Amino acid sequence: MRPSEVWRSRGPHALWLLPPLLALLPHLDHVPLWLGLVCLGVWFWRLALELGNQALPPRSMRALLALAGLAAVFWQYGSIVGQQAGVPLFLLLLFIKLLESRGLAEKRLLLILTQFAAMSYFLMGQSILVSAYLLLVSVLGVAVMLHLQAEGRQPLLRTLTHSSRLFAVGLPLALLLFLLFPRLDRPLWGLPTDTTSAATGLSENMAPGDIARLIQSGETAFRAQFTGPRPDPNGLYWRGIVLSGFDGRVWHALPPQPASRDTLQAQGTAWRLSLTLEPHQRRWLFTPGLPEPLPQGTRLAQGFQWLANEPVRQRQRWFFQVYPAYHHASGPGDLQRELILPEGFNPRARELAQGWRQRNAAPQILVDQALALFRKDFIYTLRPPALGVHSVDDFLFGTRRGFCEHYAGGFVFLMRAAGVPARVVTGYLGGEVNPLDGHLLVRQSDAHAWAEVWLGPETGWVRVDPTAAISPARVEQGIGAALPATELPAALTRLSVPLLQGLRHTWEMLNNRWDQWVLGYGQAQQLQLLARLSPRLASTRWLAQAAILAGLLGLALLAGFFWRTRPKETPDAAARAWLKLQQRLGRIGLAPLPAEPPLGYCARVARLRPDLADPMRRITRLYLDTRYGNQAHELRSLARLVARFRPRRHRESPGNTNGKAHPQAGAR
Amino acid sequence: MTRPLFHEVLAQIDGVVLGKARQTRLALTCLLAGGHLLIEDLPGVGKTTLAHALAHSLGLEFKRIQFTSDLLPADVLGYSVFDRAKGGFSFHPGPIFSQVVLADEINRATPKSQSALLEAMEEGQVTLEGTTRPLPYPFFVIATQNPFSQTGVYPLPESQLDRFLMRLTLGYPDSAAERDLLSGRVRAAKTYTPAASPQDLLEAREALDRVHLSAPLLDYLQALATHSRAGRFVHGLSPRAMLGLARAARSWAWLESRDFVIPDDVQAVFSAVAAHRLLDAEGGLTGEQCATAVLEAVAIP
Repeated sequence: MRPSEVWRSRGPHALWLLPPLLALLPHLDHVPLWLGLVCLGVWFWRLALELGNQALPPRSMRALLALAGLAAVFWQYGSIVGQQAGVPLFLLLLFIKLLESRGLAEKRLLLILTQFAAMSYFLMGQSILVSAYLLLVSVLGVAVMLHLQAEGRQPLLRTLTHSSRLFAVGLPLALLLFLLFPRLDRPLWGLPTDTTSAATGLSENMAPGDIARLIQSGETAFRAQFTGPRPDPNGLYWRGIVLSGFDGRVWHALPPQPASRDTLQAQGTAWRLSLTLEPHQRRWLFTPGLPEPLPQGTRLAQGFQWLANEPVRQRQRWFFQVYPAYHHASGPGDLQRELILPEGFNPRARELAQGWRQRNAAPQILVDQALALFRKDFIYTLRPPALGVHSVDDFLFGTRRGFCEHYAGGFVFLMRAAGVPARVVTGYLGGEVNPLDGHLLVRQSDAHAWAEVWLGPETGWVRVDPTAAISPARVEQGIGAALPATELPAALTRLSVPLLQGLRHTWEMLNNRWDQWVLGYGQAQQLQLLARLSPRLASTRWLAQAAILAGLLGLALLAGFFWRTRPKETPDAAARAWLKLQQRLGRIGLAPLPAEPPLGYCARVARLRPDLADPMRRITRLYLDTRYGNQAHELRSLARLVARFRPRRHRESPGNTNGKAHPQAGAR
Repeated sequence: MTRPLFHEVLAQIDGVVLGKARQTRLALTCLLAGGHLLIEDLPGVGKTTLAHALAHSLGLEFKRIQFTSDLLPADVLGYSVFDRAKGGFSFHPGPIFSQVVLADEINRATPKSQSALLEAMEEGQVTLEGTTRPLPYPFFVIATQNPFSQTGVYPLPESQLDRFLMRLTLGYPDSAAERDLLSGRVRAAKTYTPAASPQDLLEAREALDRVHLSAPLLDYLQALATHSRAGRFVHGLSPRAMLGLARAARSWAWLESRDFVIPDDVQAVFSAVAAHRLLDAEGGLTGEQCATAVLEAVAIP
């Protein structure tokens, strides 16, 4: 047979292999390469077997494969439980199971497991696209199941419509459950979190190149929505992590003190905003000013670090009020640690700073001198040359090409060397306003590092952005404009074609809505909704009770469903009961004649075996009533009577003496 | 409830036509189902008696037409003559204008006269000289023919036979019945008062429509039709025959005091309904044998 013929004749038989493949595809972005390849390999193997209508591999081989897979997953993850190892293990075993699935029942089971595998991707991502894709996969999965069940009599297109209709019917219920099913603030089960898993975002360490890597990422860091006056986003420094420690190469955050001894004084007017933070597995929060009052669940730590009480493991939203202008002072003891520099590094930079200091020790003058130095002939680039052990020296006097972290790091080093308390602050700069609904989208590519210097007790801490000294465009227009064309990073997100931009804005708005209203729909939002329905409903206690009630109701519904779908007492059950009766009578030589009608049969049995006449007549009457008389409610009585009907051979029976009990056919 | 009345009718007929319970029941079934009856038998076995008893016990008007080779259609249907007193034509209705008509030895008349009767049977009305006159209701024809005389007869073609719902054979009475007959203990039909009225017949026919035909029974009917058409016979059972079979089975079931049809009912009427329509392609089997062959070959689903 030519391949096309094979495909035409055997292709429909291989249809059930499609959903597992589609369920695997999104997982390929997080499972190890070898696992993805094994799954794909097994899939193609099974496809070839199906197309060739060949026998499946022997049991021993499958067992070996499964054990090897188990071992490999353990070797890879050091565990076979938990989300991180569990999902890949499940996928692997699912695909090995392809090799033993043959009959209808096994294929059906496999397809159900496939739905589970597809849904497990929700542990990895919940964006609109992911949700839409997984929805499609599960609609297709159900369609293929229906197609299998019909043994190919129904074309896939038809079962696809059927399956879509099923999902459409279920949608209102799903929506209702989504909105009203009680949400508890501490879920009974949560997303298992693996603290070791890497999350994109700023970290407590800043080595040269860290932010440059981060800037390649178009992922969303957070979204902000200002209510009331909207500040110009280009000038917004979203303050995040304070890096006060330096070991000669890496700037790092000091272990957070339990409470802040800083004195913070709000000035001017406040902005109101909501901040929807993507999970970054840390506690940092980002703010364009001084949040006051502090929203619940957050606190301020030493160095005016705004922290959440719990690591941000799920997308979370805060509403708060922020003062863009504020006075920030530290006590003398705390200032000391903002001056520490490791010995033995960067002698030339130290020398330069100390020279400045000897000429004029006023902090503001020192700051201006440093900025003037940067303004002279430094180049801003995403791909700075490698730096040696004395990284600041190399940067300041050698390469003079760098990125915000080089400038911030170099600047703070110079300030400390000159005796001015200074530190590096990382966060985000700018962002993009969606013109459709005005929300501000801040991406990882907006990550930035700047400096804060202590200008004396009156002025307090002041933000200085040395990067702005080199390339003002960087501060005003974001990274896309600041870079030479040849050095464009993966900043394709910065497309300027109006149409594309419009589309992108719409998309971002959709994403924002999705995040806020679908993914961000938690207990608070639910309580709000319930309060709108009736103020009495909006209590957490009520919610907990309702959760239990809903659970019980769900169980009851499930029980009802199983009760409803128990094997139906169809008229065919009458035919089966009648057949059983005929078989039992057949064993004692009273099988029905060909095409003998029920009443005729009954009369003959009654004539030959008067002892059986009574039950026989009752059974026959019930059989006729149920099968032909549309009285299905009698089926149970029929089944019971037939079950009790156990005719025995009758020695004295004249009709049975020679084993031939059949009178003539005309005896009806 | 009219059903007991018809059991009474049956009892009356059985009191007149002795020992032919199956045939009398089939005849009444045929009448109830609104079909016409063909009796193929020797003279003197009780055809007229049966027709008479049926008509009388239901209170129906009865006429008899003896078909001969010189019978003209006008002798059956009626004719118009000029009436001097009135100064116009007046119509003299033929014997067909009667509720029960016995058409005796129908195969002796010419095809022209035969078809005059058969068309009237089919249409339920008579059209003469441009005027259409409805036949009375109910209208029930019992035709007889003598199967053994082969000279000077015009046998009914199959297309005409199909218009009779049933064909029956009465046959000789059994010895007990014959003894009763000879001993003179048989009552004449006239001595009974009619057990049911034409109005009762109307109601009974309406009740038939409510007799349930279940899906497995329809399967059975279709299996019978399919088998009859499978090539063993010159013609299979026509849709008209199947409709008649279903209606006859309902009628039989109703007479059996049941409101749904069971395979026994179908088998009870099958031979009477199907035998005259089935013609063995090889010529070896009679119509009755063909019908039995079909019944035995088709399993009850």
